[in-house]
Order: sequence, then C-alpha cells, then structure tokens
Amino acid sequence: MTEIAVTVEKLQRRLEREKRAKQEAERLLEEKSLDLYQANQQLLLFTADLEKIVELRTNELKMALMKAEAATRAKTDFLATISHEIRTPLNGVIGMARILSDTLLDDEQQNYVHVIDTCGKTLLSLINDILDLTKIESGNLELEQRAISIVDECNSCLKILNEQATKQQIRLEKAYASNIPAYLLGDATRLKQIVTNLLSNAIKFTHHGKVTLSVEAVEISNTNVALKISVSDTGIGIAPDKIDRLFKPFSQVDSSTTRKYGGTGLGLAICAKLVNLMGGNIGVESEPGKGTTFFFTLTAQLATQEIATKTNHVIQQENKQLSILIAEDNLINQKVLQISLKKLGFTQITIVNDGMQCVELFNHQTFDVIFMDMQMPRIDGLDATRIIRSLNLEKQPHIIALTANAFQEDVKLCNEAGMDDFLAKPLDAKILKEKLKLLKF
Amino acid sequence: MKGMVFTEFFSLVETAFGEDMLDDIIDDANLPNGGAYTAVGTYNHMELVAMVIALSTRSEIPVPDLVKTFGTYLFGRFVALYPNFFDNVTDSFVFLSGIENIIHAEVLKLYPDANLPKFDVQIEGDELVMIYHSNRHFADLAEGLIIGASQHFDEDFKIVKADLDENSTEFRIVRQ
Repeated sequence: MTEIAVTVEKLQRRLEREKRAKQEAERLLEEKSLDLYQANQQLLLFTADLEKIVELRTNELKMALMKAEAATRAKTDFLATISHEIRTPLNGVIGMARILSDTLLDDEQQNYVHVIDTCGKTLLSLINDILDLTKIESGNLELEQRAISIVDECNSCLKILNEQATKQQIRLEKAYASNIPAYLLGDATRLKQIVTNLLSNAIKFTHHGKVTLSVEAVEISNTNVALKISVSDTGIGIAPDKIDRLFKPFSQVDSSTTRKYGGTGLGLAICAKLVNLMGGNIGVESEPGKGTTFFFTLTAQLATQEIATKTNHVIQQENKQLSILIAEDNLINQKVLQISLKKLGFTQITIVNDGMQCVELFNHQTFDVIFMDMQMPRIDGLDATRIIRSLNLEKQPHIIALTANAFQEDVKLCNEAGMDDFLAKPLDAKILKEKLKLLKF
Repeated sequence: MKGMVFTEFFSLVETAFGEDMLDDIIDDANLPNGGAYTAVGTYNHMELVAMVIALSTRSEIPVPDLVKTFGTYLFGRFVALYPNFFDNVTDSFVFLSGIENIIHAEVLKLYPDANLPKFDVQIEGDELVMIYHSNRHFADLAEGLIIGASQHFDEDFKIVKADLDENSTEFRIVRQ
C-alpha cells in the first residue's frame, strides 16, 4: 500500500514537473510570438515610411523633370525667337549688300561690300547650324518620308559644289554602284545636307587631287535597302588621335584649323546626329597626308516612282508679267524683296503692310503671287491666307510664306493654312529666282 | 545554457539510470524550478552542474566521466535533431571547424541572447587544434562532443587535452 502511495506520489511529482515545463514552454512561445508581432509591426511601419519617401522622391523627380523640360522648351523658344530677331536684320544686311554691289562702285568699295556679304552669309550659316543642332537635340526635328531618288539628290549635291571644286582645281568624281534602287523613302533636304557637308569638307581640306562621292547598296530586300554613301578625298588627312573628336559639336581638329579653313565646327556634329536619326551610322577612315574617307549608312524603305513625281502649276503666261503682292510689315524686308524682284524683271509689284490690307485688296483685284509674311499686325499671314482661300476667286493666287521662323512646325502651319510654298528669311536671291522660275501659270 | 541540453541530460539519465534516479538528483540538486525544463528555454548552467554532482555522488562515477559521456550522447542527439547541419559534411575536421561560423551562427539567429562558447580551430594535415573558451568549465562536455564526432564520422582520434588558463582548454586532436 505504502509502495503504491510512494509510486503515485512520484508520478504526481513528475506530472507536475511536466506541467510546469509545458507552461514554461507556452510562456516562451507567447513571448516569442509577441516579439515577432512587434517586429512585424515595426517592419510595416518601415515599409510605410519607405513608401512615403519613395513617393516623395518620385514627386520631386517628376517636378525636376518638368522643370528640365520646361527649361529645354524655353531654350528652344528662346533660340527660335533669337533666330527670328537675328535673321530679320540680317536679311536687311545681306539684301542691301547685294543691291549695293550692283550699283556703281569703285574696286575698294566693291571689296568692302563683298566683305559685308561674306560675313553676313557666314553669320547666317552659323545661325542655321545652331538652330539645326538645337532642333535635333530637343527632338524637334522631324524627318520627311517622301519618295526620293538617291542618284538625283547626290548629283544635285555635286552640282552645288562643282564651283567650289573647280575654283580649287579639285576633280569631283562620282562612283555609283549599279545596285542602287531608283526610289526610296527619305528626307531629301536632310540627306543633301549631310552629303553636301561631307563634300564641302573634303574639298576644303584637299589641295590637289580629287574628291569622290560613292554610293552603293550593301543590302537589299523586297521592301528595304541599306545604303552606304562615302566621300573620299586625297587631302591632308586627320591624325588618328583627333578622329574621336570630329563628331562632337564645336570641335574642329584644332583651333588652327578654324583659322586656316574656317567653319563653325558644327557641320559634322549635325551630320552625325542626322545620320543617327535616319537609323544609320557615320564613320571615318583617314591617313594623314594621304586622304580621308567619310562614310555613312542608312536604311530606307523602297518607293515607287509615282509618289516621287512632283506636280506643279502649269502655264501659258510669261512669268515676268506676273502680278505680285508683298504682304510684309517690316520696311527693310519690303525693300529687299521688292528690289530683288525688280532685278529679276518683275514690274507689277504691290506692297501692303499687314494681313488686313492684303485681304481688302482682294475685294477689287487679284494677284498671281503673294509673298506673305507670317507675323503681321491685325491679321497675320496664316489667317489672311485662310480668308483668301475661302474667297470665290476666278483664279486663286500662288501664296509663298515668308518668315524668319525656320522650324518644321512653321512649314506645317503654312501648308495647313493653304499656302503653296515657303521661303525662309533672310532671302536668298538664287532660291527666290528658282521658286519663281518653277512657278508656272 | 539552452534548455535543450537539460532535457537531453534528463533523457540520458532516464535511459541509463532510470526515472527514480532522475527524481532523486532533481531533489538533491535543489533546483529553483523543481526540474521543469523546456528545450526552448534558457537556464543557469549551474543547475546542470548541481545535477551532475548529485548523479556522481549517487552513481559513484567521477564527474568528468559523466560529463564526457553526456557529451558523446549529446552529439548523437544533434545528429538526430538537426540533420541539415551534417549535409555535405564529409569528415569530422570539416564539421569541428564549422561549429563557430556555421552552427553557432544559426543558433544566434533563433536565440540572439544565447551565451555560446567560443572555439578557435586550426588544422594542419591530420592534426586539429581546438581551443575551447568558456567561463562555464564544460571542457569535458566539449571533449565528449569531439568523441561523438569521431564516432559519427567513423574516425579514430587521439585527443590530448591541456588547460591553458581558467577559461580555456586546448584539444590537440590527431586523426589516426
């Protein structure tokens, strides 16, 4: 009996011990759970804080981006305005210099006028280059996609530079591969800008020998073509360590180059950016003293001829008899254009100072051609054009926009308003002549 | 000291000497919690020392022998309870040199307040020198664990033990 009692007591003690151990374990478990819970809460707080910080940062970055974009827009606007402001008086300078050079001057005076003309043109090309570069860098440059003939465009570049080459007694040669497609989609103006720039550089840096323009198709599919266009010269060449800098803005090989050969150092930077926009690559191989080859590639869609053929007004009338209206508020610009037209032989010229007068004239008379400034008091050139286009006229005039704004958007605005053509100021007498020659009624 | 050592000590005493002996040494040791230990708790190591002394008195086996035997047994339990520590471990030297950086690192994740002994290990060929640092004077337990390791990896060890100072003991282990 006693033995059983002892055993029971022992068992009870063991049970008690186990119970206490169990309670201890439960207490520890609870403690650990609490720890974990608190750690989790802390983590949630951290996460919330972190999300807040991230949101704050994101907003800050958004603001910064908006500010940066606004600044870029402001820069572009500023450049557009400045270019307009500079081009207008420059138009006067170049125009008047040209007119002055046609008056009776002695040799010394003629020389001075020539300097004014050259400086004016240099300044103009610098402004154009800076505008181009800014447009490309701000992403505002849109490439046209029209059917063009590579051979025609290249020939036209050679023609432009023929005079410069002849003057330097450099042979200008071409080597077109037989596999070049007749037409492809591209931007003729920009393509010519690149090729002309490369050719002009090559001629500039070549003292004897020749400059060759080569074109070949490196890959042709049913729809696309990859072209390689190269300009090789037998000129002074470029040292290997200078090649990297070539395509960066304002980086001529060295400053003595600028003094000796002129130029802004922007041409190749613009070429490189244009080639990139066209989805190609630009490169150079050179050996000092032997010559240099600049080449670029571009990929384009193939096109058919009918898209390429441009339509123009057809005519019977003798051009010189055209009645011309100049709508322009700036007196100097009026003068320059008037004198330029007179020199081309046009006599029937009427001048108005704003869009309102321009529109009013159409109540009782009509004109063959209007040179329409875009920015004028009372009614601007775009609205005046729209009004004239809405009039029930026997014959609608050919309207040529005339503006110092050289942006692509302006060309688009002019087209939309119903204008036929576009002339950027300062006026180039040669382009003016070409435009009027093409014009047929 | 981690409760797991206490609970494993209990099961060794129960298996080797019987439940009555366990009850007796718990009584003899005059433990603050009456011997209610849980594996996840932490307890004063002096409680274990008191129980070992009581066991030694009753069984007339010297304390170092008891502690060493417990160490060897404990190693076997580690293998059974935490098999992942033995994955890809091919021999005892690899295992012993990984205690400090692998096993103790894991223990500290679960029990950040654990007060663990420190082991310095150097291997040269078939000789491993391990210095045990602890103020708990459980060098015998460490020796038992080393013997457990040699048995587990089926290796033959010659162990020379030397106390360096009050809190450090050097084990010079030569693999035969």
